[in-house]
Amino acid sequence: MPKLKWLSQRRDLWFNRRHPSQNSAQTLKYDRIYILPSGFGYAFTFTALLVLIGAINYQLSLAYLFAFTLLGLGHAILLRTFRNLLKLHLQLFDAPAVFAGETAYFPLQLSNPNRLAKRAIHFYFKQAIKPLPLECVVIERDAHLSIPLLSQHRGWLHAPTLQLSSRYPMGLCHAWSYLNSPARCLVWPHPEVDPPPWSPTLGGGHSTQIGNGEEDFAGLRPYTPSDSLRRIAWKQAAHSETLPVKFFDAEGRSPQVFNWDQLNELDREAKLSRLVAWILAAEQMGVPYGLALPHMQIDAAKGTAHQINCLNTLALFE
Amino acid sequence: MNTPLERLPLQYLIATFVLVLLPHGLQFSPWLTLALGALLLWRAWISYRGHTLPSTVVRFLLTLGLFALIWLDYQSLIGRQGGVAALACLATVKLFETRSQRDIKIVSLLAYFLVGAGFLIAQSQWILLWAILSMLAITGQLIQWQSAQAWWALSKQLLLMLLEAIPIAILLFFFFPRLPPLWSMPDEQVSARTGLSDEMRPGNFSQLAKDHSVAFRVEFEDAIPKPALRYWRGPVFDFFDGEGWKQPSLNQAGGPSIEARGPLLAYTMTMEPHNRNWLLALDIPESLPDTAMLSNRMQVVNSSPITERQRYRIESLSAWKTSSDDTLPAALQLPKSGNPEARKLAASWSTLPPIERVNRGLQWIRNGGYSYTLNPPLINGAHSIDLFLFKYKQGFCEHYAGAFTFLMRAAGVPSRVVGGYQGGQWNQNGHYLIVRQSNAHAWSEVWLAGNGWQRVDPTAMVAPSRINDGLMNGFNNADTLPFMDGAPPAWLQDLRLHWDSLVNNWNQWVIGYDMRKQMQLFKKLGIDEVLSSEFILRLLLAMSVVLITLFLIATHSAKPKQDGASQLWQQFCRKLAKRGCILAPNEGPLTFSLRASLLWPEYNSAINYITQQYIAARYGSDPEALLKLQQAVRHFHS
Repeated sequence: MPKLKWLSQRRDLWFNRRHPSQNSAQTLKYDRIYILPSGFGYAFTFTALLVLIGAINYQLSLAYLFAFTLLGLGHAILLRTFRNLLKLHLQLFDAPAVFAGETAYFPLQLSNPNRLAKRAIHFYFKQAIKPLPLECVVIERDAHLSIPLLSQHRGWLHAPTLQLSSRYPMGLCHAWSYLNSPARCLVWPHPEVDPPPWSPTLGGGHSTQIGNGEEDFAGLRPYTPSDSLRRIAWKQAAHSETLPVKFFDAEGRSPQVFNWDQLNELDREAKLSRLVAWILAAEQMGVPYGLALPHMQIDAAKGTAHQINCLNTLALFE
Repeated sequence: MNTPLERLPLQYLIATFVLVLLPHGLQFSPWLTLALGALLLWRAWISYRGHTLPSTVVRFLLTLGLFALIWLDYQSLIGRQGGVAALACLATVKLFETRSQRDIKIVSLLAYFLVGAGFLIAQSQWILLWAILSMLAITGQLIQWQSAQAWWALSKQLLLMLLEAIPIAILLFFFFPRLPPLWSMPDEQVSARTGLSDEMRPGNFSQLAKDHSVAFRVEFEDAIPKPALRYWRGPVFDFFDGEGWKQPSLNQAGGPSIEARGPLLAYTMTMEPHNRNWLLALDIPESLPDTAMLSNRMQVVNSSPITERQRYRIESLSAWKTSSDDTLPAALQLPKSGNPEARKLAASWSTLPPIERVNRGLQWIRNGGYSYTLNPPLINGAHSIDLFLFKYKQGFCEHYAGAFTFLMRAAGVPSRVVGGYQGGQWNQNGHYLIVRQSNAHAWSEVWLAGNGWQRVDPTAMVAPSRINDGLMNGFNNADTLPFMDGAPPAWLQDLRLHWDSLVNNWNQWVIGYDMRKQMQLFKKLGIDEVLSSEFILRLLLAMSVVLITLFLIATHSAKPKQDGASQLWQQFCRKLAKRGCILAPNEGPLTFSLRASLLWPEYNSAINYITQQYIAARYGSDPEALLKLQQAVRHFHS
């Protein structure tokens, strides 16, 4: 077993040396492209050999010529399959952040310096759990693709080795290559589904007067058991799965600071999930919010940039 | 796997199949051909209308029905004819089971194989042309499945691939060791081809006279015999059954001893296949190819039928004498009854010496008011000789040879009918003689004590020019001969001869390329042994050179072509660069020109104009923009 492990380590070392991770665009060179006959390729060769055997047995000179032309054609197709990948420029970029469990899309920029279009190239991440091969039908000059990758855990999702392969033009050969790149995607914690509402008293000392006044309607938020029935927005409830509750300016505007330490009954990831869910809800309601994390404090604010900042912080929370 | 296949490539596949099955269909029985044609039409209709494919049961029944048709024709589902037909049927039925790409691939491979089997039909240029076209069509539709393309782009790609395939094919064709058959193929009844038959019935030869396909070609080593002496001896018809003349069994020994009376004539024959196991030779052959022997009737018999074009060298005697013969009794055979008039005539000569009887017979034909015609009246029945000799008096060589031999036998002179070819056309371009089926001829041989068997041609009595100058000159009136034979213009004849010498070279170096020819080539190249390390090394070297060249061509010829507008724009940028305004990598034409015109406001309008024309030429549809750009850039002085 240790021997095997050593072997696979050597192989990975060799592989990474051959396909170094680069930030810039990479070009597929001769030594980066692998090619083997496909099953159909073997069947084609076998057919050509059958014709050759027929030619020998019936002493048909032209059938010899035909069998050899078939083999020559197979070779021409092999070269074309190889050429279809050759000199392709590729660059994989960072994917926009997603929530854990969602599919990240890594932008891939392709450009073809050759006159002949490159065709029918498939792209997929090698170590992806459910690889979704993506076909690029034709690349005349430039093409942009988004390569999907299912995210699992929060934190940085590094793009695994991208495999590209093609059987163009005839499916006789299978040519492939790899692209290693430092592209990554920040995965935010998965937002908890149906989180309990935050209790405004968790506001971490910034508790404010909750007005019952109905003068300043500010929006809707999910129902919490402490809410008065009078404040349920029945009209909207008819169209919604959750029970919306009207809230009013005084309550709505009051900044909330979601405190890590108040969620002690949950484990770490669950806490993060709930915080994310609250951030999303608060941002949607327009409530200013902040985070009080161990060793870290984010002041209450609103807006997309603030939301992303909070989410990023939670994604990378140690 | 189960996504429905696209319609267009499927229709390409069906069309390809029609092409692939075309020459095969012409070989099958009409019913089988009709059935396959109908199936292909049905398949195309299904694809066109988007109907569902027939069920497994229907496909199974279709296969059974087609196999029954094949069995009726060939009594076999394997081998050269039955096997190819069965394969064609299986592939056609498989077309009704195309659910996935995998099915398409299987059908395509079957199609490739069927194309290869096409060479069993014939090894002609036309079949080769068809094979190449079919191969490209199959390949093209396979490419369509991978990536749909416009037909002209596809055709260009296919032609380029063919060009890349040819060097490899040629190298392997000439240097791949030619082997004897790996195992013997099941014995088969080979289909009849044109040529002499093993019996002479009325109409056989006049039929051949209309066939202008080549029977064989001859290269003489030194002397070329005069036209009147070019008698190519073939089957000997020794047995008369009252209506036709038959050839006895060929494998009998005990022939006469032959004595030379003249020089030997050496020549090489290239015989077209005729599926009989006799070879043709000039008069009496002396030395024979290894596989052949001389029968007791001095006929050259090969050990196996000539199913492929063959080359062999023969030396023949131009004058001879034979003696001690076992075949003489057979040469006097006649039916017990029939043709009383002819027998009476012959009996009137029987008291003369044999040589006189022969002369009387010839004189009778010369002076009897006979005429030579390609379209003689049909003479049948037990008294056909009488009818010909005394009533119709019109006939082709077969009639004269038959009647004369009958008279001789009836007069007691051993005689027999000999079939073969007479004459031939000299090809000045290739220095060889072409003998066509239309040169087929029949004559007589009589046995005279002291000389043995000697040739007598009664046709020469009625149509001497037939023997001296060829078939066309034998007829007085314009008999219905196809256009090529009524003396064609000289240039046409010349063209025909050029073409024939081309065909001859093709036959010898491509179609006739076999183990012997390969050894000959290797010797010329200084290779003594096929399996010597030196040869294998050289072969590998040649192969690597070809493969590397192809690789370099395939991977390096692919630089993008820069359009004219880009080149002019770069020229303009270089002019500006001299002044210190260098195009930044991320700069588009508009921002660059803005920056440039800010630097040199005095050129503002010129810079703007060039930029506009460049954009119009590169991205717009104004056809004159390129010209305007060219002029503007040329006149722009930095």
